[in-house]
Amino acid sequence: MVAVNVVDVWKKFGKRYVLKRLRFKVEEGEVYGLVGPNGAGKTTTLRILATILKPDKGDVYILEKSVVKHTNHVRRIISYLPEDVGVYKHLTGREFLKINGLIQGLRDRGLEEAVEYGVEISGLGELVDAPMGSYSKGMRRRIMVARTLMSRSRVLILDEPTSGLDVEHAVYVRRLIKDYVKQMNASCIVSSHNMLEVEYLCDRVALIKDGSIIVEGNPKQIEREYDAENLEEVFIKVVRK
Amino acid sequence: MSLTALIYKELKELLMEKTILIGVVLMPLLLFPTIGGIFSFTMMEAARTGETEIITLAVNDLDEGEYSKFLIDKIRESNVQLIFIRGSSNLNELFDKGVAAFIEFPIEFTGKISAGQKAKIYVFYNVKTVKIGSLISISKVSGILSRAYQSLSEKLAEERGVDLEFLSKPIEEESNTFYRGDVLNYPPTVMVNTVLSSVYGLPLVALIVVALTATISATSIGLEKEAKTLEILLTLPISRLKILLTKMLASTIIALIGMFSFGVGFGIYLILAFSRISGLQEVSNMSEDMDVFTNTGLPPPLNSTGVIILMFTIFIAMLLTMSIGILVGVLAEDVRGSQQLVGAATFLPMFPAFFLTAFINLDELAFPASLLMMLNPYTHFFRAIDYVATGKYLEAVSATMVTGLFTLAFLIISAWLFSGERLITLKVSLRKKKEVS
Repeated sequence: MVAVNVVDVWKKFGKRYVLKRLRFKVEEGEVYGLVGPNGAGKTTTLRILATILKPDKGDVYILEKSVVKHTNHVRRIISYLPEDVGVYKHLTGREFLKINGLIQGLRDRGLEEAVEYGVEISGLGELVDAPMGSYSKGMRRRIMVARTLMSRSRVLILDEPTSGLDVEHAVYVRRLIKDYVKQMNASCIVSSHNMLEVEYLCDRVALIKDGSIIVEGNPKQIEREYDAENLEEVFIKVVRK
Repeated sequence: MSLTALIYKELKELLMEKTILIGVVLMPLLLFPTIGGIFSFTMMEAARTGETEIITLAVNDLDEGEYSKFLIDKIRESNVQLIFIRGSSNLNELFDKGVAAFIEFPIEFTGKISAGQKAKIYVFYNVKTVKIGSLISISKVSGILSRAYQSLSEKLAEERGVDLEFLSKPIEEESNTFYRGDVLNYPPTVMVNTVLSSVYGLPLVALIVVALTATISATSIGLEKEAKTLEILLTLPISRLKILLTKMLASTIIALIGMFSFGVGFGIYLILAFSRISGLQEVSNMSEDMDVFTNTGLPPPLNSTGVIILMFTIFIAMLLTMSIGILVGVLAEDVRGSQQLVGAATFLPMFPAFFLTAFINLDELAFPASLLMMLNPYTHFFRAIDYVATGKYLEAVSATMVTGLFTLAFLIISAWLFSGERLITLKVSLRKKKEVS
């Protein structure tokens, strides 16, 4: 079953088109990577998927529901992690997770289990009961990743999930995402500048430039196609074209 | 349940925010009592100095006639110390010695009065510093002289066999006021003052709270933008209208806490500052003015229907201002931007509406000006209050409904902006954009 279906999406800001007839599909249980230079349109794509922005033309279907027509339904099945996201500095990590659980419709035992799961995967220990304003950049990112995964959504939209994390925690978060997708048979769209991360996480990758996909496929397959040792090399070759 | 969670989040984030906690909750509790305490202390000190200090006056009696001597005797009766000067005098030297005032009776002072002409007296007051203490000293000297002049008037009237009381006030007016179909046995000024203080006083205090509400509601959105938490909030399965409502509700709760804090602080200020006024009636007529309102025994200007309509009108004005605050919060880039914009967005229409409604009959304004006024939502709020004060309750409700329509329009615009991507892309600020190098 197709979990995410992006159909001929156009988007412009002012007079400049940021996305031009963008189209791709993500299957259930698949991790799909979006890579590309700055300003290529990755974040705009993810924001459209997350129902924050609306496409000027075209549509996106998440588990067959249109982000334009069935916005509220889509919000129930997705979980979005923005790249540059802050925290409510006076709420504790636990309070934040609980409030998110409540808004996502979790109650009683389900809510308790989700919060405990969030606390556990955040790896914050006792600090989960401290105000989030006192958290370091890495700790803030971990609580946000925990929030994204705790509700067990069927579609994850992750913009630079390991941004600001040290190597140890980045590896931990990548493993978390991979395990989550496997266990939940969920779908995940990841945007990243880290080619190692993309290679490790993604079943398929799309290289986006000037608002259109110019290369798409399995990472190993793309590397062979471009006679490159890794995705980074492919990226350089494609971007310089 | 999700609404309760959101309200909890809003309240905690807003109440723990330093600008709100200090500015809205703590500042009125600290500031007003401090000002009241300082004011009270100053008044007490000034009064104590005024009571214990014996006033020294310098007198140069060039006339040395019957009436100048009579006045000097009367001045002496007021327990003052008199220094007599002969010939020319140096004011600097005199005042350096602590003389409160220098009085000079010119030659022919008595002669002129005897001839039925007005005589002049020269008084030079010593103002050392422009402070309340100086005002008390000046008032005391002025009072002593006024009493002496009155005694001279009475003496002259007696000498000439004239009824002074009759001549000074030959007509006694009994003022009555025709108000809303009733004849009241009070002067219209007293009646108008009472109505103004009771009917307009409340809305003016309410406007302070209302302005506060706008700042809080604007800040609550500004905080989300500044902390970059808005993107997550917008992808949660909760309607944008609910998000707006929780922000409005939380703002109202904090505004009420602020109003309580304001009330307590202001109450302490009044107790501290004005409990001393009654003992200083020579200094100020304020307490007499206050007595006018409490002792007239006027019937209350509003009946229960009027009070209910007035409260309803104020409530709608609160919603109106809050909706403007929400709109500003949506448009602004961050907390600072929203707080800057909200002042302009609320006070700019509020003050012209208040003053123009108070002093001008809007129905008599020329077309473009009246249209401009009618487009100002606060005009209808103040008109409603006007109608309440004059007992035109139906018109008051109509004007309030118009205010309500403006509120609805602002809320619809806010919700429209909030529901779409404009919330992410719109950034309005009063500050200059930083130049990108």
